[in-house]
Amino acid sequence: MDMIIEIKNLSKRYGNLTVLKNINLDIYRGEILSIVGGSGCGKSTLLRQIIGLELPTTGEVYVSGEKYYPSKPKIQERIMKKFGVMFQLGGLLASLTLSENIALPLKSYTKLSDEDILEVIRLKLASVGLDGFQDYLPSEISGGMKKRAALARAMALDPEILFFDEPASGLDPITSAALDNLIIELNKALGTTMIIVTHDLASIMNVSHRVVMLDKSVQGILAVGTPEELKNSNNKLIYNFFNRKFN
Amino acid sequence: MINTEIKGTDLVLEVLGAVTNEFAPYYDLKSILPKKIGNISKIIINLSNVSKYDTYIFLLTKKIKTFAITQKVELEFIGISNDLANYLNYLENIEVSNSQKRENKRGIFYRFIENSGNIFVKLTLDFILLLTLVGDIFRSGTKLFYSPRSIRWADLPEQFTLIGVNALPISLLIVFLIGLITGYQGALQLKEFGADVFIADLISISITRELGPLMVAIIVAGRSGSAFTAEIGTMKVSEEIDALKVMGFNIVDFLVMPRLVAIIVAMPLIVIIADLVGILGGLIASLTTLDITSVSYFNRMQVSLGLNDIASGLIKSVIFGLVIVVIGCFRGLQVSGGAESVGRYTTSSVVTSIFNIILIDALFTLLFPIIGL
Repeated sequence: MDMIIEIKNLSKRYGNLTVLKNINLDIYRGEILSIVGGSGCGKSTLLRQIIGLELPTTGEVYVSGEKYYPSKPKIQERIMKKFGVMFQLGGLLASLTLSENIALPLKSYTKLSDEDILEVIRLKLASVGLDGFQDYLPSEISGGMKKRAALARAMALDPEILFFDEPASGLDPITSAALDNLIIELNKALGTTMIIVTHDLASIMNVSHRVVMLDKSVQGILAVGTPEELKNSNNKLIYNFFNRKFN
Repeated sequence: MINTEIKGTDLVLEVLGAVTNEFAPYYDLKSILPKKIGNISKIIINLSNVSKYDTYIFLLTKKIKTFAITQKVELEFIGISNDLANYLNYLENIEVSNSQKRENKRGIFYRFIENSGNIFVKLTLDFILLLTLVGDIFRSGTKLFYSPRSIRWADLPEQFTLIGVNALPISLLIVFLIGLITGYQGALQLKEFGADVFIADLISISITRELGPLMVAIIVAGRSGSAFTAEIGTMKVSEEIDALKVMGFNIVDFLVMPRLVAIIVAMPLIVIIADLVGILGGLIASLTTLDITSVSYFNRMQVSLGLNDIASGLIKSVIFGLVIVVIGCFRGLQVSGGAESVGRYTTSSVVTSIFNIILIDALFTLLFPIIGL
């Protein structure tokens, strides 16, 4: 399988607190990988290191075989354009309409004509079921719609890799299931690699091809496998997590 | 890029390379598609040499399709990979399923009427909200006398420090400089007429009646009025106001009244000290530019400056304080949405407060002589 992200010996410390220690992980092109684990295990920290929003204390990250960290800022900037990120709270700019939010990267990084940009915006919003909401401000739409709009913006530049930080948080089960379905559809149709940080068990079982479980006890990866493998794991910690048991 | 070739009655378009947003200008159809179709009966799009693609390939093929339909010629895709076909189908389906949802575009006149109506409704609602807030403040103010515990007194010392004590150094410095400037400017004119001693009249009356309260109010509006809006606005965005309401707290009692009481106490105190400092600034200007002594300056001031001058300045300062609190809190409560809204209303709060302060000052200037102040 073609590898798209390689993480080698990545560690992250905040002062004396070690959150991640010697993480080694390969992520394959076109897969949906979920990063799971209990609260405070370092899921979001790992995601932020991969995206490049924070720099790891030590370790290396490769994207499509090219060194992403450590490397020159110009190279990092170029590689970062391959990423789309859907943040937990959306991260939509409140002062801009949905259409302007999506137009922002398109105007800055592509040579599309204004007419084509409008067409792309419409398509992206349509692909997340928000066609007709171009002129709405983020404050005028619901939480679920904000998440979908954030996904549309993340997809604006047709990124090779899409990152999702807690996509299901704050959503009702139906909206959450619809978002799962959207993720699966997009993955199938566009072949985009998707990396999802989530707590939502149903979502993990529904969408993931592979799951990485982190845990505080090891300050890193406790297990990697398909959702079914982890659900039937002999390790009590993993079994409890995937079967919603507390002892 | 796109290679074109005419084979009999077929126009073959061979799409080459990376058909992505990044390289969109290389696929400009205007220079490729013929203006007159002539005897062409079919357009063939060859996609076998596409090395990379993204949404742009859908836009490109859609434009060629539209061209074929308008020119009433056949269209055929060749050399299309399964992945690309699936991709184009996927986007096509999205378009079809969403095309019915789109709203009809409205005309400029319709939008003008709609926008005017929206602005009118917003202004009316804002005015009602402002009246409601003033009414609530009045009700909470009367509660001070029969149910003083309903107000959150614990907040008062902190608010007094923020509004009054912390504003003191900058207010005094500015009023001192204003006194100094007025003194120098006045001295130059009075010297011409040999009316040196009247500088005391000019300084003391202008500082106590006008400049002292006005400058202090503008500074407090800039410092504290903006802070009220930003703090209350942020509380609104983060649902703290809703939480307080649900817990049974009256928002005006909890948030507005401590600020109101603090500003009513703080403003006259700052203005009194500022008046003294401003008069001192005028004295320094007089001593350095005119032929008068400090004794003659104060003697003259005793004659010219009445209690009514000082009182009118103090009354104004209290009213200005009320304006700052009402507008600051009102704008804060108007915030909705997110961070951008907080910023917008904070700016609006300062501008509205300063405008109203100056407007009220002008009204008082007309009104006070009528009531003998």
